[in-house]
Amino acid sequence: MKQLVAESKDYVFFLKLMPIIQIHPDAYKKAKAIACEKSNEKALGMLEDAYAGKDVGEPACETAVIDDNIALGKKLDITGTPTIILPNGRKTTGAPSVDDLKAMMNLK
Amino acid sequence: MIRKILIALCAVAVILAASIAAQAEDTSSPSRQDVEKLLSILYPDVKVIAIAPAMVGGLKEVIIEVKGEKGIVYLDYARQKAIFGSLVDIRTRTNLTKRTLDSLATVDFASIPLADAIVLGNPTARNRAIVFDDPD
Repeated sequence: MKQLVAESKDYVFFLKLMPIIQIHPDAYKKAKAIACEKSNEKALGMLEDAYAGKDVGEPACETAVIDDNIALGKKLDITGTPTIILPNGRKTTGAPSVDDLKAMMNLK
Repeated sequence: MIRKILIALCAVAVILAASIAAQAEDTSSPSRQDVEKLLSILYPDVKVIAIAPAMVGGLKEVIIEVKGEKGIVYLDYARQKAIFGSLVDIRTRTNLTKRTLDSLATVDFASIPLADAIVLGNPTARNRAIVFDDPD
């Protein structure tokens, strides 16, 4: 996804953090910490750090966003990450190649 | 005399074609109603959503819905046996059955709130997708 947005201004991905706490108990705290970051740029940086296993610190605020995302994920039957919701409403799990991603996002 | 030979030849051709078809890809086109009737022996309330060639020769992939839940059953050419389970591509380790099922369940894109999402890319881009991700 990073590669695709670097290549083209025509694509955007809205990331909703949905930690799977049964497998990753620490992810909940990380997700909340990132959700508290108001700057989108900084949030992206924190997310990169989280992926790399670096510490992103404690949540600096109270936020219901992560709980909301977890509840929404349950409602939409999303069990794996990353799960991409395509414009036509279909779901796909995993990280596709740039070409596959372009193809999927252009499907009707 | 010639007509008889022609008829016999035609018959042989049809039989050959049928047997070749049975071994290779099943190119028959069973109707949804026929398949629904057949599968209703197993599931009285079954609905057949789609029938397509399976990625394995000789089988049809039938997408069914029972009590609101979608599933896939593989049907043989003779319409006598059904296979329930996952078809897996060995080299790519892909569960083809699950992949097809996942792509069927659609979500209302517009109903997902994006205000709190982290934006990766140009926010006004016309090709948008939503990603549910775990930070770990």
